[in-house]
Formats: sequence, structure tokens, C-alpha cells
Amino acid sequence: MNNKMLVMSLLVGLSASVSAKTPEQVLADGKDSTVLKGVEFRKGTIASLIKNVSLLNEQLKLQETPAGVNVVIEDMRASIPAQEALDVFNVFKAEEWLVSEQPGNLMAGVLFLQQFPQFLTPQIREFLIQNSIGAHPLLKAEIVKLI
Amino acid sequence: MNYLKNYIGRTTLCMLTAPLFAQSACAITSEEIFPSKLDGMVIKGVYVRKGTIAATFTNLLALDKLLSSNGSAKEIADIIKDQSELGRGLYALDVFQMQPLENWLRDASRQGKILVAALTLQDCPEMMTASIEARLEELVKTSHPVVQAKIKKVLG
Repeated sequence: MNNKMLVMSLLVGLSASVSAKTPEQVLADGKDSTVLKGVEFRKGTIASLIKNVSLLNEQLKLQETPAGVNVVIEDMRASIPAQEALDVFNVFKAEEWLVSEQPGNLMAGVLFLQQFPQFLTPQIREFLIQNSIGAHPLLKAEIVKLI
Repeated sequence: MNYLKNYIGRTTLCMLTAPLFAQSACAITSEEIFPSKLDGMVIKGVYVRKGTIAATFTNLLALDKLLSSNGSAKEIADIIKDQSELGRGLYALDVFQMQPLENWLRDASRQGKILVAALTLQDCPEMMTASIEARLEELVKTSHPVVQAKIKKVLG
């Protein structure tokens, strides 16, 4: 039993060791998805977040709500666990999504904090309260849900 | 099959609603960016392989750790070698539209992030601006020797 535990901890240690990664090591040829930290993610997951953030950066600045914006937000919300497993919010911490003041970036940060509230600090809360004034109603609704 | 139904439903919704509204937004899914079975594709004239951003983020966090803890010089060199080839792909995927290079350079304690930004600038010198140059000049004074060398190279 002890030997089994030792082997397991060695395997965990190996997988956590720092080493260079190439795209081929992340996703081998012919593979469309893989599992990381227990979450399955598909190739193109982070790239789709980038595109959707960019879409919201444009669409949430408009007075009227364009058709399909809710679908973009729901897709973004659903992708948050995979983005977290892919370290997107370790590379760019919650604060970094919020300070850009771009509504799409803000939305990504807010949706992340809704699912990972342990990263919501009093400073972030205060910042969001200030920034919800004048925000697009859809963004404001998500901020209200969070705080 | 479910995905296909979902995709057709979403695409149809977008096609139907687009003419009705001055502006319409359709969510972009990972399937639309990288269709199944494709290992890479040409975006903005650059061949981009799947896993490019995920590999970069893994490398960046590994460098953050190694550069702040006297990590192995060989491991650092290996990561730099692998990461050096990914800058153009990151640019093509609009990574720097979502998080501009200035953001990568904001926190002096994130040496891995700064190094990856410098490697990207080496690959894409057209991204250099006066404010990035000024920030790099500040960072070079306090950075890890490996990062210093790379910044100096970028600044010419």
C-alpha cells in the first residue's frame, strides 16, 4: 500500500515538474482534446475565449443589445472551468482582466470570479462596484450577481 | 452528433437574426477555430498549430517559477528554445489584442511573463512601441540575467 502511494506521489510529482512544452506535447497530432486537472478541454479553447472577448469588447459598447450576445456570454461562462484548468487566469490574474476597462475583458474576469470566488478580494469588489456604474446592462447584471 | 445539432442551430440563429439587427454577435466556439482532425491551420498568413497558446502559458508559468528560484539553466534554455518559435502564432491568434504586451510587462516580479513578451517582440518587432520600449528599459535594470540579456537583444 505504501509502495503504491509512493509510486502515485512520484507520478504526480513528475507531472507537476517544470519542463518545456511544445504545442505537439500539449495536443499530439490527430488528437482534438485532452484532459488537464480533471477537466476535458478541446483544441482552440483559449483561442475561442480571445475571439469572444473581442466580440464583447465591441458589442457591449453599443446602446442596444445585439442579437446573440447572450449566447456569447453563456459560451464564455461554460468555458471558464476549462480556461482555469489551462491556467488562463494564472497567467493573467483576475485583476488584469478588470483593469483593461474593456467590457469583454471585464466580463471574462467577472465570470471567472463567479465560479472561483476565492479570488474576489475587497479591492476587486470595490473596483467592480465603481465600474458597474455606466456599464452595459448585461455586464452590470453579471457584476451584481457576483458581488 | 449533439455538437453538430447545436452548431447548426446556432449558425441558423445567427444567419436568421443577422439581417434583422444592425449589429449581431455570434459566439465563436473552439470547433469553429479548429475543426476536428485539423492539427493546425494558416491564420493571417502564419501556420498556427493547435496547442500554441496552451503551450505558451505552460512555458510562461514554468519560467516564472524557474527564474524566481534559481532554477536549472538547462531547463530555462530548453523552454526559451521551444517558446522562441511560437511568437508569430500568438500574434496571429490575437492573443495581444486580448492582453496587450504592456500588460505582460506590468509586474516586474513575473519574470517568465516578461521573458515570453521579449521573445515575442524578437519574433514580431513591429509590435514594439515607444511605451513598451520605455518599460523594457526600466525592467532591464532589475531583471534576472537571462531576461536582461533577452531584453537587451530586443532593444538592440
